[in-house]
Amino acid sequence: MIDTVYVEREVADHPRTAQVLSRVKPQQVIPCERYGEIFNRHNQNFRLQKARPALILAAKHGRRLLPVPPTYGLSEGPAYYFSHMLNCLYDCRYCFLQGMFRSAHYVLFVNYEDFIADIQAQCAQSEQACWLFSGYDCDSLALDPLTGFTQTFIPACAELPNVWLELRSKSSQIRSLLAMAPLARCVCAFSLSPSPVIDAFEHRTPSLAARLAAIARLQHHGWPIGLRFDPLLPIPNFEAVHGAFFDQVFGAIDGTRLHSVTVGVLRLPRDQARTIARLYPDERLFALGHRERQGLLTYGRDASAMLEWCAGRIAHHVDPTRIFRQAA
Amino acid sequence: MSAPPGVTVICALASEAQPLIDYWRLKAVRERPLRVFGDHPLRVVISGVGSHASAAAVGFSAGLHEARSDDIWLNLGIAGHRSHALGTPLLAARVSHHGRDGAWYPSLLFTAPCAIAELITHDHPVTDLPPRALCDMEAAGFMAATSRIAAGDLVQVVKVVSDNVESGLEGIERVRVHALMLAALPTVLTLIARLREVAARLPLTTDHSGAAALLARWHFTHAQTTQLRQLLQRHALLAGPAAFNAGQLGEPLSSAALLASLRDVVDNLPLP
Repeated sequence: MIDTVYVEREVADHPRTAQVLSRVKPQQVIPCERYGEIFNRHNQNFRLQKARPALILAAKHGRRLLPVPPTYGLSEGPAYYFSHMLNCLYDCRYCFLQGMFRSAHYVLFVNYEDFIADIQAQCAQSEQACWLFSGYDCDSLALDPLTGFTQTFIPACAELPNVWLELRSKSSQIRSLLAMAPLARCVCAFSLSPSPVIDAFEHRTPSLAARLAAIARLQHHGWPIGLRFDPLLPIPNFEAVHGAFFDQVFGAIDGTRLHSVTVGVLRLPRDQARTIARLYPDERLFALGHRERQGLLTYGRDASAMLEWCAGRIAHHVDPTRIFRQAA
Repeated sequence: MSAPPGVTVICALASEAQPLIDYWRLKAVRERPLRVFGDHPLRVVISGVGSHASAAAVGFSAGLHEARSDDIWLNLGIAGHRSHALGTPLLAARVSHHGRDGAWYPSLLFTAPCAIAELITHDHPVTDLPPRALCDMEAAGFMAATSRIAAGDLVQVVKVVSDNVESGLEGIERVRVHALMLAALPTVLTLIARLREVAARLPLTTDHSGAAALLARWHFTHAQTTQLRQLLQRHALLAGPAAFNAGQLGEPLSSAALLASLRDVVDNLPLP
């Protein structure tokens, strides 16, 4: 799966580096000074690299915990996101990472202990519940068997009584979660889309059936579950397809036991949207008419109506106070 | 892309290039300022020795044709390596210039046709070879120049070991270099074939058939021409390649009015 691994000299002797290399078994390991030499250089093509991404093992310096955008949090109190990885195993055509990063290579920051020290220091300053979001610049679970992310971060967060952690994923890699006791303050949030959207735009992701089976097992095991119907896309026969989709979802998952549900429309920063459209001039999604509001692009037609229609349908299964809207 | 990608190979010496020139049956097309063999899509340029010469050859070669995003660039030549056997082809995975900061990492988006190695470019021939790296006199200049003008994922450096600690530099002469490069030719050709496969993943650029008629009827500025092509591309993606009918735009009085009408039509097309 991964042929080439670049290793920063600084982390060459880090135990997690050895662990990851033993799991990946790459054809070639190439030393480098800083991951930015590879990841941030000019004249790279995200589309070409996505077909065969390399892995870069690096140390994260500087700010490891960042405040979330104002509309991202689910409650009052401080909220941060952090990224132990950059880029994702999956290839969703609407993903903003394609427009944000110059490279499609995966970067794994192996200095988890520094992230955890920052989390401890930051959250100790607050008496309120402190939300941490993982999975903003990567999928939290997709490479978990390789990275050991959940096995390290969930026990660390469990020791901090005011910390709430959200994992965001489209993955069905849940073995490590099933192997540990559920943490009531760790929400496993899964992005779901109807099968026609998965087939057309969410390349290399698990099927809807596989995701639902994984979510149902986690819910049965006692993990708090969040569902993220985001982004909604204006596909043909929108209401018929989504009506059947919500029936399938809530036939498999107990909506009354969900931590939260969000529904959102596609929204991309203008410059990132333009970059993605240049990368994929043959992609019909970016051929759609769009409108811009406060620097964010969304499609021009019916976005609010779609959002409300879906929220209404979801409310048949979920307490409406647990449904959050992410409009452009 | 509609035509095959261009391949430009930069070699310091004619003896390094000759087996490839012969295989591709390229004709000499220029003698000065640099010797150039072949034209698009296959071209070999003799740069002369040294990183500055290699960088200059990249710039010169880039001026010989209109740049495309799928252009392939290869620096091919000989290099020293402490332990590898003479004639071993090695693909550069990291290129640096001796005594200077920074490095280039050619993308490995394909299965390498040979082993990989770090490569250090020196300003003079090197006899004290480092433990693991190749030593040459051109690659850093080649990488520095291509990083400014070419798609970084389609730039590679492949070197054939011409000297090691046992051989020293004495045996490097024209006939021997030719023989080493000839033996490595299958690896070089495999590498180029794999780079072409990577380049083929770039999207096709299609010119909509309706554009020519509209461009002939109204006067469009350069920017408007780009907008027209983008709108027709979007129309083709959403409505199908044959669905455009200029009649649906009414009778616009100007190119600007035509673009506005077309944009209105396209913006209201649904996702198919």
